[in-house]
Amino acid sequence: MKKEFTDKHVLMVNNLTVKFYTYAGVVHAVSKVSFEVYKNEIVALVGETGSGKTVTTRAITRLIESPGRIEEGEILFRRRNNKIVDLMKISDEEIRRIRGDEIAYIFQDPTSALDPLYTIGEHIDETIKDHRFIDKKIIKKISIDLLRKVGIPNPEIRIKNYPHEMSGGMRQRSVISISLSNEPVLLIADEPTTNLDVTIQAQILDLLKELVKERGMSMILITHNLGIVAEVADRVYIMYAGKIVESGDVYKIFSRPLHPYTQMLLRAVPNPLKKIIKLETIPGTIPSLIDPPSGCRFHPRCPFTKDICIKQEPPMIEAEKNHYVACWLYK
Amino acid sequence: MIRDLIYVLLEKTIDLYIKIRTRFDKEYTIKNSSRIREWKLIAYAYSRSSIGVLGGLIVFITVILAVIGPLVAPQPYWVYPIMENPETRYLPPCIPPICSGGPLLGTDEWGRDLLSIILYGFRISFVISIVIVLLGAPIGIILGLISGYKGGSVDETIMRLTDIFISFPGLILAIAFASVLPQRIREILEANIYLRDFFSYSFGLRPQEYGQLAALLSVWFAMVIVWWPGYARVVRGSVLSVREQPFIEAAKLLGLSTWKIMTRHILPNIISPVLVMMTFDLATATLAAAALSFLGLGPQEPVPELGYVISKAGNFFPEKSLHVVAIVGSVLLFIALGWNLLGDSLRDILDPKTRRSIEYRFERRRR
Amino acid sequence: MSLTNFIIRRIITFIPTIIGVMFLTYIIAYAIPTDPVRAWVSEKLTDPTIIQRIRSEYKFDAPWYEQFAFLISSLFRGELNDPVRHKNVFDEIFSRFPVTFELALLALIFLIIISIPLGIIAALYKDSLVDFFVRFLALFGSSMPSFVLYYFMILIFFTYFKATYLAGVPTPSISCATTLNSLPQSYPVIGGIISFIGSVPMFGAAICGEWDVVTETIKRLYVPALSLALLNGGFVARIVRNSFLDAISSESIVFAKARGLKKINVWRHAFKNALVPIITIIGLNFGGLLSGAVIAETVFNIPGLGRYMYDSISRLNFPALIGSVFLVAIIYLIVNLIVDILYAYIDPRIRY
Repeated sequence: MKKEFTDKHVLMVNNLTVKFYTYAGVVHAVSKVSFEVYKNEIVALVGETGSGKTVTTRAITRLIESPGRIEEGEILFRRRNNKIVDLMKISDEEIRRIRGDEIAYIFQDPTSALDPLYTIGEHIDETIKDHRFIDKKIIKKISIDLLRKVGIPNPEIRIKNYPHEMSGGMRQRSVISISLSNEPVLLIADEPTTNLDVTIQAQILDLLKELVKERGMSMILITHNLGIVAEVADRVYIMYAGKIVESGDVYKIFSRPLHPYTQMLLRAVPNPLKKIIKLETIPGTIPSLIDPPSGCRFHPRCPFTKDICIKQEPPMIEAEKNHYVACWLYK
Repeated sequence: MIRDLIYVLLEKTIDLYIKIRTRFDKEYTIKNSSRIREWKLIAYAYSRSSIGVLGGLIVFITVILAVIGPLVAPQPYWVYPIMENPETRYLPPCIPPICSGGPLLGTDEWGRDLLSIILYGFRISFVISIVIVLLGAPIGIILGLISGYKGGSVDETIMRLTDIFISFPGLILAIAFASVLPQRIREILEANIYLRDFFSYSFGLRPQEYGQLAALLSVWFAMVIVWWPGYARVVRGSVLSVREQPFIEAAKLLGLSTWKIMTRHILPNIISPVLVMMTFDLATATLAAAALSFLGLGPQEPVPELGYVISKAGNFFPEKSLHVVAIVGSVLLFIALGWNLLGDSLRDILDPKTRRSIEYRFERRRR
Repeated sequence: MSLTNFIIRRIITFIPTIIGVMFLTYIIAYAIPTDPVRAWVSEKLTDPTIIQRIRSEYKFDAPWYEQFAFLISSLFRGELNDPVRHKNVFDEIFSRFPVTFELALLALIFLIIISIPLGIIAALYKDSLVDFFVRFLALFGSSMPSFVLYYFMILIFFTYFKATYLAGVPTPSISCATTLNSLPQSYPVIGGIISFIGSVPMFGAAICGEWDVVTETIKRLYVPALSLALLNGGFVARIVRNSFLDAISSESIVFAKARGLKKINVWRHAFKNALVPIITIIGLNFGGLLSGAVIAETVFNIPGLGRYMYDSISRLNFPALIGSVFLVAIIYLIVNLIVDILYAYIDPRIRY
């Protein structure tokens, strides 16, 4: 189902497959995953730990290292100059230039992402310098403005701070400011709020939303928290065991979840307004990706399994406008 | 194939141990099932480690030679052939079929058969290294446990103490003790015959040489004193990181005594790096004891301490005594190599990072 | 929290440790049952009154705390007297220490040249031949008895190739020495510093431009220096390798790549992070070398501090012993201090 890269597209991933060659065998981390990101939208990538979300996004800019290997896939990206390139095919130097400049990342744990031996200012400085030729003084001004923009008070002082001199929330804001320093086209945020307090979570999310709208960026947001998805995302992709099982407009998914996995995920979130006797869970565990289940990967845990589910993988179909699902329950 | 053999051997030993323990405590197997599995896992990982097996082989040979050496040595060490026949000094090795009728490995400066000297030397070097580590380590471990767990002023004092010992040039401390103690120990040995005989026979020496034995014991004593601070530091560091963990807090809340917490809960969790350290230290101690003897601080004639033998040979090096330095040097290298290989392998086995791949292979094997 | 505060605090913890070291030395000296005075003078030749005089001069009649106080005060006044050679102990020590320093420095240079590149290559090409070689070298270095290695190095370089010699240590010419010594009088501060540096024979000769002395020194000392480096090199290389591997696989390096930093800058980050354990181990090694490798000095016949300490103990020469031990302890602590400071300079987290 090869779609066309339209004017509205920023990113289109087609049939991405990533495998890890380990002592225990070959791990099929990501299997023929396809998705797209349009201009000025926030796309959520949802799934449990081990579903392949992080690997997928890292593969976009070829950040996968041994023993992992990107086996196949086409990743079309619209650069700032409007040229469309296949990120899998360009040279190492070109992709280095795109990283941090046109496609930027926000990692999950700001404490491990930041280098403890360098100040925040130095982080921003080098990220800018390795991509653009700008005068030192201007870089400093940009840095201070960035920190202010992400809500760090006294940015002139904070710029000289080391990561350990800041709180968790401030560190994540610093990471965000580093990622934004070259005004990227696409921002990939990997569970940016998972390691933070709930109150800070809300602030960071609001900040991200605002920045995206303001700067006309697009963002891929990885999360396992459906609440965040509801708050922030325009469209959602649900991943399970290295495959995308459902995707579409966020309202449609929440109001009418089609895939059994999505349904169970939504049910698992307790409603604070209702009295709950027992928490809903999804029975079973995620399958081993070394030897993934045949046919539909969810079939061992699915309450609606049919014969065909075990034998054949369901194709992705458009169940309604802007709502796609890969499940044999729907034709 | 050898690997399987070794694993089977180790597994049988473990099973035997379990059998014996079960006789006394019917529920031993159940209570310690995970620990037993751990042992078998380690045994398996060990059997797959080539350097470990090689090291183990060398250590095995060392121990055998250490035990039987003095008993099977063809020539006694207390006889100086040179007295009767000056020609016997520094004879080169005579290995058939190139040569015949002469001493297999040559002779030393007193005309003594080098092979016999080496066989006696194994016992001496081995016993010294074992005792140093088996005494120095526990002292350091206990002090480290106390220091790390109690904290506060106890911690400060013990750490200052280790600081002092560590800043103090160890060799000097050992030298100082080795000069000072022999006199005192001599007197003690003279007074107490059982002690004298016990030590003499452990080292494979005759009680007559108790004077030299005193020097040997002083070297040993000095080294024990120098040895413990290293362990104290390492153990303390580990205790500090383990101490904050919830299960320790839980143990405290359950009302376990400090001693019990330290031995039953903290110690098993920090013991791995300590065991690795001890294994490496056996190599270090062997070489250090030889070095002290080389400097003339340990036992002298006629006790055949390997380091001392080399120092004497150094005077005629290399014209006459090349074979002595080369052969005796290789013996020391051999002993130290065994422990180092074993320690290397042990460190790899006990490394948590490689843990999962070992476990995976182990489970696969069982199926 | 600044670097200076950290330095000051570290220096303060020095003091109790030094006192402890001195006390320990004293206990050792005190514990010797034999009468040291008799060891110092030849028994037959001296009459009892002289022995008594020496005894009271060194306060051997007085109780132990007085003796200790006497030794410490003499130490700090710089007036420890060597009874055997009738000189101030520190003269002897200060003439021997520079030699040990030369050897230690040369050994350190060799150590760094060998271990750091090897370690880095071993980290980059994991499980390759180089990696295997590093493991082998580490094994060899820690299993080989040092004196045996020294003898063999002598066999190769001295006996066979005749590329070195085993007596004395080259020093700069007398005119050079007198010039350097007189510098502090004409130019107090700078002169003092230059004179101090120049007390190390190699540096003194270099300052005077006597390069042949420098090359001679290297020719004399390179074999023991190389041996020392070989013994420790493997171990240090392993530490370099592991430290690099840890640094390269850390999340902050992935983030650096994700930010599109140039390769060399990614390396800069990895390198700096890997540096801390490396500095520690090299510092410790250097400290050990400065304490005087007694065995190397013995086998290679180098008139350094290690050998001096050994001699002074055998002869029960307490003032010499206390003086040297004091110096060694101070050196060790200073080296540790410098390592800690470098550590804190690189890693800002330590400054607390």
